[in-house]
Amino acid sequence: MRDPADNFAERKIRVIIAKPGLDGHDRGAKVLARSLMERGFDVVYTGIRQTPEDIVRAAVEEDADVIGLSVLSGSHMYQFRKVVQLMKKNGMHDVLLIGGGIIPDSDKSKLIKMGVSAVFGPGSSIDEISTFIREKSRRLK
Amino acid sequence: MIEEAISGDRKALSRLMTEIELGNEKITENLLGKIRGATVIGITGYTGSGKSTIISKLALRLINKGKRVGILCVDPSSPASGGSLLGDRIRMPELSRQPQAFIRSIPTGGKRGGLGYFVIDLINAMDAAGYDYIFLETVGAGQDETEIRNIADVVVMVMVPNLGDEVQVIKAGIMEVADIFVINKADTGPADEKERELLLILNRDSTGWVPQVLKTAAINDAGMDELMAAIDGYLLLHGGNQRAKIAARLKQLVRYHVEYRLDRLMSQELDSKVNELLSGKSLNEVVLQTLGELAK
Amino acid sequence: MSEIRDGLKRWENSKPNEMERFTRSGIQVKAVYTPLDVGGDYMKSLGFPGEYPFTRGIHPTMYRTRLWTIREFSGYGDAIETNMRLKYLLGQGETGLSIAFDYPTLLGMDSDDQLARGEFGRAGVGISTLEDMKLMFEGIPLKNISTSMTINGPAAVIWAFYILAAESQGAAPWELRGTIQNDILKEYMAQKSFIFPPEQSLKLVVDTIEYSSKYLPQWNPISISGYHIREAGANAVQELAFTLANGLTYVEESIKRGLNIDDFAPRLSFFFDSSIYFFEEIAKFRAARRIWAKEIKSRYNPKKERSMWMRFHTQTSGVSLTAQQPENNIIRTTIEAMAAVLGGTQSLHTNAMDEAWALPTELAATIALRTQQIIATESGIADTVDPLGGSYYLEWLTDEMERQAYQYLDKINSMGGVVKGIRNGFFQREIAESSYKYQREVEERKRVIVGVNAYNDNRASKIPILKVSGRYERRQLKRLAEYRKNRDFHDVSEKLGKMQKASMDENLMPYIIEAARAGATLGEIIRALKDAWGEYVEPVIF
Repeated sequence: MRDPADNFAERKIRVIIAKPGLDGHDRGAKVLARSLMERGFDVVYTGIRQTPEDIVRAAVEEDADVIGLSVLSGSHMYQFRKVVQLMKKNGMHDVLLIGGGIIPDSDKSKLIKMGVSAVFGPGSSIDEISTFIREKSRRLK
Repeated sequence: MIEEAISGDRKALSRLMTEIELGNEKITENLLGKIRGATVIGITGYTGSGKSTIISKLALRLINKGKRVGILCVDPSSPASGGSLLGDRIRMPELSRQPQAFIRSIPTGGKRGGLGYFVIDLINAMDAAGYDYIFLETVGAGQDETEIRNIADVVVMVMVPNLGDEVQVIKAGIMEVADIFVINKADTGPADEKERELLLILNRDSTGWVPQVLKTAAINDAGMDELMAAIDGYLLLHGGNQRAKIAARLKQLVRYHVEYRLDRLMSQELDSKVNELLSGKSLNEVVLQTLGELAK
Repeated sequence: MSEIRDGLKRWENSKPNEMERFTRSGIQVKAVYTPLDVGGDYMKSLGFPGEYPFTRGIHPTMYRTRLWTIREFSGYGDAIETNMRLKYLLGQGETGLSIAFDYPTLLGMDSDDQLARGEFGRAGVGISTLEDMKLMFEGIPLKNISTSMTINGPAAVIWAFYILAAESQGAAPWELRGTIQNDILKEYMAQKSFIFPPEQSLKLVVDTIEYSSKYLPQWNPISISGYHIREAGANAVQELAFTLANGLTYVEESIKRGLNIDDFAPRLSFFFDSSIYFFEEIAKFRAARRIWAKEIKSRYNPKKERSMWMRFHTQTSGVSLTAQQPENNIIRTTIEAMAAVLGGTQSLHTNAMDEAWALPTELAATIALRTQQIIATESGIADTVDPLGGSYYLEWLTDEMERQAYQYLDKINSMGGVVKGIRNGFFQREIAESSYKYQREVEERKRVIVGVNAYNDNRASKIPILKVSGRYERRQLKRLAEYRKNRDFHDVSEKLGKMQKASMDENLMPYIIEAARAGATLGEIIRALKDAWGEYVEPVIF
């Protein structure tokens, strides 16, 4: 599964997978974290019950290339808005922000306008997500 | 970038560490002159032994005393995919919210086993940025252990009463694995038995410092004061050895960078080397030629 | 039989090659089943409905006498908003209420808690105080209604609010009918809305079971759930085994407390998933009844038959529904609802087609309701008990699932029980493995999902979506601020202190009720217990 183009010791694309807010449904986030690892990413899974501050802080310390938020509780507009704000505050304009979970189409377009790069709803394939990250993240040489 | 990191900019430090991970040797060089002398505490032990909880408890104590604490968590990269699941920081929720703490995960990367190529450089970066204590968290026994001995100022090995063959490993002669042994989750199994076993072997191999064995239950904060005291005690006694410590660490650093260059070269060239061997060149020739290429 | 054996040999030799088939939990399914696949004694392994081992059903005539209860989950916004929705549903003929709470409430936080930002009222109704509870049931006589409340970590507190709200309406505790989900063990495995560490949480659950057995004889103090375990990724066998293991743990702890089996077992209830692989689900329900009856009988030798009954509610599987082509979900839900009825469920919730998008719109919720009504009145499935009983395939599958479930139960036993298993991550690991395997199968097209990895059309779905307004939160925060001012906080503190002192040694229910009566909020009571017991941080297992 190793991408031969990857330099062996080169730092891999580092992805933070986080669950902001109080929603504890982590099946998708965990399956995604593990699957991305198997596709050659370095994945930091932050767990459940994270505040936007927690998540952005981890992204700063890890110098993450991508932040992925999983929200199934309906509070996605609030969570993403906060994260986008904090990312701006920390000058993280080149960090990719993606999302997944239960997010209606009408909110998807609002999120994209807000600065979210893509929203992967239920039924998205891991290949889709991993291809997107590889193509769009700043770690392209 | 180094200047900003030193002045306390977290993002700059983080970027600096990324540069190091990308193999930027210039930065490594520059950092050598900026080291302040942070104390490096190695914490090793199998998954599930409670290392992260222990680090959390100790670090919080240090922070309360006004210290800044850096934490480096080493996790293995998958040999198949090259990726990794960096799941240690998740086990330190309270610590990760402290502004005086900085947690960074280190995948071992291409390096087979061990601590990755750049761990010492990353330690130096945190040191230069003003972190007084740096915890280095690693998994497993064996090879890692000897490396960590050359890097850390004190090594603590964490075990649990029921699981693990550490005692056998130590008996088998991989000696001086650690300076302090902790039997964590001591309330969940035959901790006294394990303690006795350990004390028997350790006494036999003492070289001045008799490695201490402590029983703790980190999740309840039990035994943490004693552990902190044991660490302080060890550091006090061995404070005079600074020169030797720095030398050992530098030696390891040089070794890592040589290995990095060699492994990098080999990952690209191995096929062609094999072909040369098959086409009649002698092994000696192939090896010498490869080493020569390194020098370019 | 030897004729059949010969016939089978002949048939197997002459049939064409075919692909292997498996149920979702990996059980291999043969092309055909015959009497050779089912051994056993009808009376011993099936029996008659209403008689041990209850494989065919817990009541003699099941739906012929009384249909399953149609109980649709509802709740959003604040207490006032939900009160209107409940009144509406009762007006439409619903006879049982089922309340969904929002995330802050589920985790024992008040609506004005820092961590509740953005979460109020979105996943259910937000309840922080006794006053909220009274408002939610204003004009709804709790004496005459059965209410199911899906709440776990803070269940004891919400229950206390309910009891006191009923009291203020003039209803005595022994008149109250309903259920609190209150199944904390599955939270550590699957849903993750735990608060305290497992040992203390378990103690609190036993407190509620004990209190209920003494003072609320018509109340079900627990709904031992497999639904969440299944939705988190477990397969049908794991759902079956882990739920039973949890149930047996609660029983064992209650017995240790000194309760008599017949005093509380009749009021234990269960909650299962009904997923799309039709026969596996039906077999699962039947195996569940049989195993539970066997275990309770052999371990505790109850005097009452009711103590061996597995009474369960079922919800059709949310995770089996798709965001793509949502209309297809109506069909999936129908198949799953049929499985639940053929499996003998006591009550049923059918999901709405927009489940993968948001809380249901009125239209979607109505279709879900009609699904049950059509099955009940038009299809004839309910006209006889356990209609598929005797099917060679189903009986074989029931036996096989029982066998595999017992393997798990033995394993859990040998590792020292459920709590040990939770602490060392056993369940989480099994569930993570199953969910990962499932994803792989879908991506490799070994498992087909219509509209997702097959039969895609790029038709954009235009179904309307429910929106939750921000004004409910503003209203709630205002009310909560007022509430906090108008109480005797000294009295509240004192009651909370008493509760903390008694926390591990005595039954907490009376103390919680007193604190609630004095005006303590949900968050304050839970915080006081967190201080005494600590908060649980889970080991993360992939």
